[in-house]
Amino acid sequence: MRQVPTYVLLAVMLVFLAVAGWQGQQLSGLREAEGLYRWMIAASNQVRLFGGLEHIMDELESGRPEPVDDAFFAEVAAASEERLPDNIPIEDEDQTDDGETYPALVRAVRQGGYEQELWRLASSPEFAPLRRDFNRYVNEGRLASIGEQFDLEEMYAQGTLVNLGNMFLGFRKMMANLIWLEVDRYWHEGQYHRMVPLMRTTVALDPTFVDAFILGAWHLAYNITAPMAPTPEALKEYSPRHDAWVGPREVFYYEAVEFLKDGIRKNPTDFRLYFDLGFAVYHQKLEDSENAVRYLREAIRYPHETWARRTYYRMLEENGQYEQALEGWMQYREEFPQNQVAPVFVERNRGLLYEHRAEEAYAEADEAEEEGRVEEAEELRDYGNEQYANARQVWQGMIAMSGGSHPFAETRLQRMDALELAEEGRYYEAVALLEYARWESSEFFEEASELIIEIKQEGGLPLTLSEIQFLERQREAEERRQMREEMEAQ
Amino acid sequence: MTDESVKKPQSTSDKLPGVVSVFTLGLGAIAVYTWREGMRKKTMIGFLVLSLLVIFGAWFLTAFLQTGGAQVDTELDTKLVKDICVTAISIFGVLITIFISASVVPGEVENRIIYTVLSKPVRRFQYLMGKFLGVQLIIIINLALMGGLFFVNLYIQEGILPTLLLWTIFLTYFEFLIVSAFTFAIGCAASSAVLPVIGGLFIYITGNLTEYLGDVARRAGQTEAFLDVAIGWLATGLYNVLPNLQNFSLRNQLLYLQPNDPPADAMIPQMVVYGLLYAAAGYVIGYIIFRRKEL
Repeated sequence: MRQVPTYVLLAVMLVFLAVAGWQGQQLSGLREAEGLYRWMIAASNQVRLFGGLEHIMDELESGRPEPVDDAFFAEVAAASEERLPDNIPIEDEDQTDDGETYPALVRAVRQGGYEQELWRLASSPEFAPLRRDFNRYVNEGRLASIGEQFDLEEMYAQGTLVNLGNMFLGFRKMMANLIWLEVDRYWHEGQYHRMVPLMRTTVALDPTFVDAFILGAWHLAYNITAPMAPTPEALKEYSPRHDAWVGPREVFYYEAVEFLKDGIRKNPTDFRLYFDLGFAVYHQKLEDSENAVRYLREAIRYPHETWARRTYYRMLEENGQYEQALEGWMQYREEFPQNQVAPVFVERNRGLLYEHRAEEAYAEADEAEEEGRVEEAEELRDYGNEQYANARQVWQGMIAMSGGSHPFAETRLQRMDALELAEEGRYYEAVALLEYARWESSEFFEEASELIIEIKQEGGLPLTLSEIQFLERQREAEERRQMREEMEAQ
Repeated sequence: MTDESVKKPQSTSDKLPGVVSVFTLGLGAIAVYTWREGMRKKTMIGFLVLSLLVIFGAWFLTAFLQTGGAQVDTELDTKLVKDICVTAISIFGVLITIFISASVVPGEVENRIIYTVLSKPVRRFQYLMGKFLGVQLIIIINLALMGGLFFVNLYIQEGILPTLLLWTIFLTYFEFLIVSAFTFAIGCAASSAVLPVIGGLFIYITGNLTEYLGDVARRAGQTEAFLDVAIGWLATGLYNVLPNLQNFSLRNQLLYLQPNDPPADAMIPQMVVYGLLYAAAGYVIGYIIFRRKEL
């Protein structure tokens, strides 16, 4: 058999290499599309949740080039608007606080189910210029919304060209694990100052290491701050990075917030990040129920554990959104009839809703009375009494249901009794009742303490030293808040 | 190689006409013989045993870390197991690939077995293809063993069948196929296994750093100096021609499947074609060298 000439074989080899190179370019194109696709999802969530894309610039990033996130997102959203299906519904949550409707891209990401369309869009030839721009901006470090990145130029020499992704030949996840174990070791040794840069390195190496984000934020918000005292209002300073007034302790809370938000930018569909941001940091540490509700609502949009939903309803209750909490608990009871907690919380929120309605009606009645609308005031008072009676019925029902003892329901009844006593001018009795009640249920302690001060002030009763200190702190905080508002207005 | 192993298929292919006989003659026998011989190599057995130990040990390692003070929860445990196993499969798998691909041809030249085989009515193309297929058989079987143990480990850890792992293993094979083909080509030129092993390691490392060439190409030309521009052209050319093993990072992505991952079905067939094309190019290079080799 005649041998194939060498030049033919060489030609065949070159053809294979050329086609493989072309195929490699196709793959690179797909990987670029993948980058844009992920960013489109992450940025859409950030626009809706964080109110924008460029707010995370800090002192460390001051030398960086001007970010282009908002402008580039507007460009991508406009291009998507024409190509996404027209029938993406507009729901309540698809509107900004100012009543503006979010672009179709943001709506499609929030509502879910449009992943195939979004991928098709990101990998389409029409999006080629946008993909090119996206890569250019990423390489130039001009997209803040892709999350805080490991700054190699700072770590090594200026002008180092090495791409972090290639530094460990594909074993970045393993390196991230090993560095994370060092973080853990430093924590046990109490060397907190060494943990933070290593935590950032870990998540830069492995941005999908969600546990590192969660545990890192926990270290920042809880373990590092444990030995620190809360900062008095007067000593707090304005931090432009966090847009808040903070002391040494609060800085770590906000760092935890930023760390988790960074995690959300990189893993926008992991419920645990939203949950920890809402509950563990905003609720538990910053006592910001509004943001807690916002992020917990987001958490339960993604595949989640059932406890996330229960916590969300608890947060709605904490935030005074009794109606929504009640609705949620009723739905939960229906879905999980074997759950023993849901029926209790249904009743509890029913009771709180009645109380809330009654108190609103009383406040409106007082206002109407002051303005001389006597009949209306009378009607409102009747309505309030009716709601209060309903609330009493609910609390009594709960006590009966639990065999004669239910601390929460009992304290609610005592609170209502105390308010009635105060209304009748029997201040000492009201205060005595609340003093007793606040020790019966830990959940009631804070509310009762504040109510005691109110009643004492109303009745002209002497305040204790701690109550005077509490009022002083409140006055100081209010003064500071006004000062800040004036400064911000200037 | 014994005469028997070559004789058997020779007699069968006598019945096959023309072109068919050229491609089938002895291929199976050579491939199976290569596989048998390869599986007996101490280096390979050593790597295989080590990899299996690491994959098996990953489970115990995470247990040890828990008692050793690291407060890792179950999810972190699973992540550690996955990362350790993926790393072990990649490192030991590529070492096995390189050592086997590098040693099959030079080994036979050193032992002078090749002279006996080629003195039979076996064409060089068939011999080389048989060897190449035998190498692939070894890689596939080793990968299956390591992947199987990883599969069991993950099943014990998570309690659900980790079917996505099969895609990960599948794509890992195509990454190894590229490394194997080029190492095999170097092996055809060498008379001992040392040079191809070094070459194979070099191919694996540079294959993972091809993205770096892309960075160089993007940043080159800023000064407009001739050297700067020329480096840019060179980097662009190399970036477009050399295999980029980072493209196979999808295999990790599949294992950790995130809900916001893009649909992977668009990428997998492309990667398979990519692997096959580079493997074909590598094999042809090997053949060009081997057909002119003085034996």
